[in-house]
Amino acid sequence: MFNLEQAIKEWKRKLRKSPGYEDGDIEELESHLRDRIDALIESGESNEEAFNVASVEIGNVELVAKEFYKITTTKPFLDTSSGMNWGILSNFIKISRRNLFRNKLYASLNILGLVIGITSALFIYLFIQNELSYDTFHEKGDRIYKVHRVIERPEGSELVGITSNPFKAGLEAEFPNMIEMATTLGPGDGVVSINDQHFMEPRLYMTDENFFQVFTYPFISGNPKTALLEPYTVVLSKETAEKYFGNENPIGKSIIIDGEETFEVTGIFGQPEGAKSHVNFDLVVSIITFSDYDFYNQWGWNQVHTYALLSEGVELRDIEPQLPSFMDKYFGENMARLNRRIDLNLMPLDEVYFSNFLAFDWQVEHGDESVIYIFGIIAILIIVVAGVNFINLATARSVSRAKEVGVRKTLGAQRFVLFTQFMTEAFVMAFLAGLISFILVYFLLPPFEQLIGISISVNMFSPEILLMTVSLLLLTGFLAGVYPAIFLSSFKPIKALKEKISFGTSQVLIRKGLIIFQFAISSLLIIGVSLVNKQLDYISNKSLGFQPDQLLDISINNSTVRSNIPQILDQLKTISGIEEVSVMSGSPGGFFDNFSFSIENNDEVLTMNTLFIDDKFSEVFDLNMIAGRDFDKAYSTDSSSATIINQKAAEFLGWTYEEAIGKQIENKNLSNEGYRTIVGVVEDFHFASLHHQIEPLVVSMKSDYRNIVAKVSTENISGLLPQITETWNNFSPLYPIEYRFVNEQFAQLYESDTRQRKVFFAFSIIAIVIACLGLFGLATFNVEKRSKEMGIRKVLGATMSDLLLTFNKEVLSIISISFLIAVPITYFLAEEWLQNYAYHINNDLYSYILAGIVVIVLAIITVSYQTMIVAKANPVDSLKSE
Amino acid sequence: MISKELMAASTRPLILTILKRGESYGYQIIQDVKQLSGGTLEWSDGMLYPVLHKLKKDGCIESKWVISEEGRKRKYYSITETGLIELQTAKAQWLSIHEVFAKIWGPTPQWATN
Repeated sequence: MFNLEQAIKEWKRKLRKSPGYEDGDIEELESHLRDRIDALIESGESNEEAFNVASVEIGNVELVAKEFYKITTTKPFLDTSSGMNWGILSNFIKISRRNLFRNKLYASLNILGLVIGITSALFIYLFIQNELSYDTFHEKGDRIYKVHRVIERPEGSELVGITSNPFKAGLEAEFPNMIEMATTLGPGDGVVSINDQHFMEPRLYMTDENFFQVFTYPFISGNPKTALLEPYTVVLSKETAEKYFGNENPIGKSIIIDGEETFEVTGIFGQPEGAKSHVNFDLVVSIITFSDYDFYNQWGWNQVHTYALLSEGVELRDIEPQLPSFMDKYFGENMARLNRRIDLNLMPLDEVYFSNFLAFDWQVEHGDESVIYIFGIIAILIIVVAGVNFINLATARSVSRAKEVGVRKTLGAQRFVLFTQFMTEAFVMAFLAGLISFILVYFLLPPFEQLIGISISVNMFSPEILLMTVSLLLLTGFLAGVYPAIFLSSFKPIKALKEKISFGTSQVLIRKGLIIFQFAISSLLIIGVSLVNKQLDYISNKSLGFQPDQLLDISINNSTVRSNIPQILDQLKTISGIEEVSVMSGSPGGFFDNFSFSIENNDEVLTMNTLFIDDKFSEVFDLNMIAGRDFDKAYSTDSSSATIINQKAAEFLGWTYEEAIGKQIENKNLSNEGYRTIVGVVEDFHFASLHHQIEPLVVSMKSDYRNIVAKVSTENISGLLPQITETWNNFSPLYPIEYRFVNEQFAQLYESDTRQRKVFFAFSIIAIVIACLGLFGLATFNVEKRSKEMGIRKVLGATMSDLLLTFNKEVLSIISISFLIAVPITYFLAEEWLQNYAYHINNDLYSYILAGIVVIVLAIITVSYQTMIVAKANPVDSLKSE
Repeated sequence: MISKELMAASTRPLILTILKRGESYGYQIIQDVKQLSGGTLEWSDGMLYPVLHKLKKDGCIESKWVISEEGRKRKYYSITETGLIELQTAKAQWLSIHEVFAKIWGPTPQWATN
């Protein structure tokens, strides 16, 4: 049944919602409406019909209100139906500023959280940006492929980075229509002499005339197409040319390499600013200079990188099917000798940098793609955690802001206006945080580069970075602001003014859930830090089977030294403090050869690590023989027909240690080797990183040496090194000595692990700081909400510790839940990570308990601090207040 | 149908003219306008009130609350001295415009208008 009075009342209520009407306006309109209705009823309409017609005739009340508003005030009308009027933005910002200044603690906590979030995300952005910028500066980049070999091994196929020089000519000859050109780049080093100045150049490479046509290195002088056509020509980087010749024109000048050959400078290349490449060189000589060398023509002499530039329009899949027959034709002989299938793989240039799984990719810089993903996820997590933190703090303050909302609503502020106000406050804080973050990133970039061990060349004021900063702060501002703004602006004015705001269970649950989420992440990271620390301590303290800090590894890096090894060893031995000297082909913690062996009475060919040494091997390494005997000078045949294997090798070949003695094995890769008799089994020792199990090792006496290893007494090492250097310089005045302690060499193997440890540490601190901020917010909220309760408790005789206990109880339950969530996830991740190490600690409870204690202690401190401030207050104040 | 702009421009002089004949209230004013224009001028009723308020603010009219016989509260408006002057000016302007159009368009033959 239609009720006219009720309908008019409804209609009036709608009018009252609009801010345009002043006292009397509505009454006037009502009187109009009633007059019209009366007239309509008189002419025979029903009540309902009359009301409908009359109200339609009066028109859209919203529009009428707008007109009223224009007359009564000069301020613009805030139209809720047609969006924001930006004229009052300055008012919003003014109020935001006042609010920030009045609540300095709250504002700084909030901004601090956001700064941490935005700064971390910006750093991670810079890092990812840097990683993705590799090899992007080559004009023909999408057609360039790096040539790799795929070697079939029993344990799976392996991609090998290096190839041999004949590949270039072979590929060009076989695929004239598909490959526009190929090029060879050989890494190397050397000493460059100009007049009387000598420079050790670790990045002296060799290449052919195609290289600078395939890759885009702009030439400052010289012709990139012809600069390396002739033997004995060299092209220098701009920096190197300046180092050698200052401001003089370097073209046509001569440099002497390794004191032997003279090269003419035919070109100077630059590198686009900030350009990153997987290969880095300072000078390149023409490879044709070495056309008489073995490596130049032998397919099996692998020591260079080969690149192919596909012709325009040719796809990788066009050429791939023909690669196996190419290998059969040119590499068949090698494959037959090695008894292994070897194929060719062309890898697009943009994948090369992230292919850190490539074996023997000499002098090539690689990144780790998984690190990009991990960092990306961490960035998102931190932004989310920081946003969560903002939400927690903002809603925690709602008690004190509820009154404000009530008053403003009573004075006519609409929900939308309040929403905009709270959003503006969030954006003002996000803006400040963004500004601070930008400055922080600017100044903290060098330490960050050190932390991740990667140099980032970046212009902070480039449009991309500025854009990224702005979008990050907008995103965070929005994410963090929207929920509190909706929540705060929803308060009913009467309720907000009269009573305390009470929270629905869902809101409390959301807030608690957010805290649990934060602490779960913090716990995870803290446990991670503890485990990583323990594992790294474990491997650096684990016995390698020898004393690495007593062993000095000197690289035999030039032919002069190589031809004088016996004399050098003799001289080194005369230095007091050097206990023993040995020479060998591998380097502990470094490179080892890997050869194929055939075993007597066995058709199988097996691969084992190989070490060529002299007779001082076991003395230098302090190794014991498990069975048989050591090499002995007394047996003249030891150097040609005896061999020693380690325990692992004996097990690998299926013999007991005693059975192994007298067995015959042959190195299939060496010509004129023949079978050698196993004379001894040596105890296992770690010659590679503890990521890997000890592998089978075959040790023979053979003069193929790359390193001198000196066993030194640990006292007076600093006095020893100058003497060793002096001895070296007697033989090799040009080539500087390169030495390293073996323990340093091993430490380098764990460099990425050490970096992981630091990164983990940094992020766990960030996460725990943010989480504590969030907890602080929750504590503030709780304490404010329960200040009366505290007053009553105090009056009834509760002590400070009673109060602390009461408030910490709730927090402890939250922390426990987050911890329970974190433990299984962490356990699983830790298991995965520890699998990277063949030798690892147990994934035991210790680290978990430790992390639990750390998190709980931090949480209790945070909560107690806030509780104590309020608990110290006079209970009268809290009880009196209304 | 009269255009929105023309309606907006003519509302003020129209209201003033009606009030010059004697004081009146919102609903009555609208009825008068409808009657006088023979339905050519169609207003959304509510839009009259902002105009009345604006006139009052500008000092052209005055208002007072009156309780009618049937007990209904009504706001009566009456024209002021300022209002009369504004009406004079407006009238002069409207007439001169009318004159210009009359001249340009000329005397219309009887058959053309029917």
